[in-house]
Amino acid sequence: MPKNTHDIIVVGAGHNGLTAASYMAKAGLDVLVLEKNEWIGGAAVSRELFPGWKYSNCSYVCSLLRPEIMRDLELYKYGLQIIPYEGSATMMRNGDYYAHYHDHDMTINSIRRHSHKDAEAYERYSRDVLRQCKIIKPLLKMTPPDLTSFKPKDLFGALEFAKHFAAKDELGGLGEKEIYDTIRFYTMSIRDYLDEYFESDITKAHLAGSAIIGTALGPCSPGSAYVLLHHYMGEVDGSVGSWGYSRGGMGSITKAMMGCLNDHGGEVKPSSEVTNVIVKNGRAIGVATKNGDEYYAKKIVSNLDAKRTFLKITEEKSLPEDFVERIKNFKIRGSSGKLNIALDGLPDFPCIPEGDPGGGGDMHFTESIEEMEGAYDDWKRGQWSRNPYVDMCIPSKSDPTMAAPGKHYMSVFIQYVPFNLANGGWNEERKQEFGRHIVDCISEFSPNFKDLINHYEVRTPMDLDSEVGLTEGNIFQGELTMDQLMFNRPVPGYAQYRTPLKNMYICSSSTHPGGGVMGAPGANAAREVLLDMKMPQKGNYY
Amino acid sequence: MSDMQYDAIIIGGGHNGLVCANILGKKNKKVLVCEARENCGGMVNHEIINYVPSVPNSVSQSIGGLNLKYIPKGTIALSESGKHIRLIGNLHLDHATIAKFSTQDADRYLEFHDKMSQFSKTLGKFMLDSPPRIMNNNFSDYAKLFKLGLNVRMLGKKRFNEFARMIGLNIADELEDNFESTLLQGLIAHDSVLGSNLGARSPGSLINLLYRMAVHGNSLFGGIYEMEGGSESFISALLEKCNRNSVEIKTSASVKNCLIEDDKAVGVELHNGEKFFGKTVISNADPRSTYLCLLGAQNLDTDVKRRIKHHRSKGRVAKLSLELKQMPEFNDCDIEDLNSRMVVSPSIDYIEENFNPSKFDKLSSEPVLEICLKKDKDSNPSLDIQVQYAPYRAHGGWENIKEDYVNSIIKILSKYSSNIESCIESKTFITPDDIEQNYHVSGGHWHHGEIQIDQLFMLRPIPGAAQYRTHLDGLYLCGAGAHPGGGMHGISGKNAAKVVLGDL
Repeated sequence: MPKNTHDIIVVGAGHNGLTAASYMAKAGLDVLVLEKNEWIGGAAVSRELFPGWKYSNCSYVCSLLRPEIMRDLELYKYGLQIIPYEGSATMMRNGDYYAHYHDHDMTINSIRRHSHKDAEAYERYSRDVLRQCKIIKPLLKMTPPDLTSFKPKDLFGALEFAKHFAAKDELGGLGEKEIYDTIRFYTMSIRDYLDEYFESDITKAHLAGSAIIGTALGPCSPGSAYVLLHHYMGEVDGSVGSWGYSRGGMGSITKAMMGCLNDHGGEVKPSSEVTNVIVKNGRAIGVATKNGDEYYAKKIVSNLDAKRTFLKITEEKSLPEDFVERIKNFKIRGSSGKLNIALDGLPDFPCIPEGDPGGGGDMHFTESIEEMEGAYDDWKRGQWSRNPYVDMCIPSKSDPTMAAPGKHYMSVFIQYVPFNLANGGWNEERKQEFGRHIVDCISEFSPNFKDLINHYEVRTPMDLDSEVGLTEGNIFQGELTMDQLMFNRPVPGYAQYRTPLKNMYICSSSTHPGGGVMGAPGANAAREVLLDMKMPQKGNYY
Repeated sequence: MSDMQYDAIIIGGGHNGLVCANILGKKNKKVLVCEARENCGGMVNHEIINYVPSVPNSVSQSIGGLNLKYIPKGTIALSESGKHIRLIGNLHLDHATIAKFSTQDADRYLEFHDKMSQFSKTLGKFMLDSPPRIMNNNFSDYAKLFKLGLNVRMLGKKRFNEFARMIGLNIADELEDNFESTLLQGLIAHDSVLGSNLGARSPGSLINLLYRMAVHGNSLFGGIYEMEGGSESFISALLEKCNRNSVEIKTSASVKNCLIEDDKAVGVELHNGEKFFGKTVISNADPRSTYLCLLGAQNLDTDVKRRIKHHRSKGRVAKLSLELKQMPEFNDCDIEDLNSRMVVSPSIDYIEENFNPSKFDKLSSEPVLEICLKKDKDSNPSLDIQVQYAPYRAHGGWENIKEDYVNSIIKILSKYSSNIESCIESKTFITPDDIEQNYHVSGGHWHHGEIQIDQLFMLRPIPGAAQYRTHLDGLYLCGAGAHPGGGMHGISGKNAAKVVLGDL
């Protein structure tokens, strides 16, 4: 028997990899996780890149992480703490602002300042969207069925899926209308969807933001309404749709997962970049790393996105030709950038009154869908948006562990930034130019912002690709469009976390239900591995 | 009721209205058609239409056969460099044509065409019949859904998976995955977005192409015709049938509203005060006008009213007609080419740049064009140009911007034709606003409503009104706003007639 043999090898120590690893370790398997970077966490990390400040330098807020996973893996025991934030706000050029709050009535009052009609419509809107959240929630835990198969498992799976789509609402309504509404929600553009409820530009702009973050869609692109769900279906402390900061930065999530993994005998090896999967007799039997080591295992689980998994670490000849073709055409487009800023004090945003909880969460300054779509049009041309949509927040306001007293950490998420920059691509100079452009945009709304900056880190899709390992810098590891969702994710026919290569699995966000710091793909994949190994199954994912 | 005069009153004498009238008339029903304009035909008019598909057999048979002659048309994608692509819908010849540009593209084209045409066939059967409703507990509806599922499943595992992927896909991705010639990409993308409110990169544009193919004989570039005697000959043929089926037709009879008694449609009132009564009222008008003008908001539930108000039906296609003094010359084109459907859509990015401003009702100075040269022996030639995207209610008001816009179109034309400017004798420009005004189609949309998934099948025009019945008893829809949509095939008219006959 060769050295370095384990039951399971997980490639990549991101949150999905660690979730899968922890579930399998808890089931009693000997699990090894290999990570290419010196640190663990993938895109859920806290890093001290400037002395005294901690940056959540990729993902920055938490809501989607499935509560069942938190409970199954006892993440609270290992130090995870989520601090909900109080609201969000969009600043306006005329000095006014538009805010949403944790408290529903406060939100209604705030909307009423801008439009009475919208305030009324918001009740209807939140009810309808909440209904969609409820429909999708059970689906997150399911392995999508293979619709072409006639196996009982897949047939029942398909029925189960269909059943949830016809879910009853609170009033017991189970009918045509509800199903039609669901179909419409999944296929419409967020612009058309919001037009059915609201009249004022600012309401629509504020709400539409959630539908474009991380995607290569604009608010006018059909299918963008669904993306909204990916930012609404989460929950913090049982409150659906709310967001929070993870205390100590997003790295605390993966740190807690590693705590659970270690406690159950699993191991994480950093600085071990997997270069290829070792295949023997048409089966995956192990992996080789860059530093020359070889590890063997009964099952290999890849937490890399579909392109990296099948085109980079797996040899093409061990996969069917048409499968490789499909993977090559898998849409994974970087569209987001980030600025992580170390501030010497709290910047003023004169638009938002002091003490207003709206300023405690994410802040924006896009005032209309038209502006947003314009930002997208720039991206389509291969430029960064001249007038970008930003999602900025200052976690250190509620989490003192991020920066020294009086100092602040600010995270600025920018939509849209292309991976393939027109006219020569990214270089250091253009990266800095991009950073300065964003700082200028923010300064328009905060007069003292520039003076407070101590240091900032610019992240382009290029950096996300090379450092974190997200192909093209797509934060969801694959576009969230109809052709790549559910039974189509990553490609039709292979949505069951298994791959064409025997003993090889995929657990990344390239699989159902997709991206976000959710953990569901990891937990689902672990279930499928354990099923195949005929292992005992415990917890919420069975 | 004693004053009940007709079995069916049809509002609007467009082709769907006339098809419906004929089918009912043939079954010895007493039918009245009220047309607001001086002539029947509606948008089937050379002012609007350039090319037509052939009228499906099922439609012409149901009214006892139509004697129409079609002239098949090839397609030429114009290129500034003069390296045009000419496609005629014959796969063998088209393969050879594309091979001159790229052998890889040519082979891929055959595969692509085969796949698309299979999908359009599968979907077409479903598309062209009346759509099933779900949760209706009606056996035939379930049978229909089951049949669709089975049809799709019968494609085989590989194609099934491909089909599932393609339904929501955008055409640009699919074309870029397959072809390297940007001109070919531009041409196919043009046909996918034609008449719609989508760009080539908007998800859903692919289903638009499948819909087009289902109507055009499941072919990408075949099945495109010009009717002998112009598209109006379709209308004259229908009118002749009407005569034989003793359908009564009143022109210049604009309907003011639908008469309602006991929550049932019982007749119509004209603007001149005349009233007609019938057992059923069938509207060939677009859904928005039907609901908001004929029915009136006061007769709608709030939910229905909200839905119809947000029914998307803003047109994006304008038409420029140029009367010419002499035959124009197009660069590197012979007379054969001039007789084809000429398309100016050099690349996907070109379409997209043009689409971008239109999302917010603004104009781009470089529109996408589909050009049709008309030449009779005894009259001067003319160019009929379809211009996309020319938004309904354009920013700034059409009356103020029309002239600049027309000039920019001519400027583009002159890139492909050196002498065009000197040939022009007169110009007429019809915007979607004009279509709304002159043809009584709110929004001026070709299809009376966007062809997008959330407005297709059982969701067309709005949930609850699908299957040609409206929310009011006795009032039906038979126009392009109902399933399956427009395109001069008369299927909605035929399907509506079937439903009405069943109810009578």
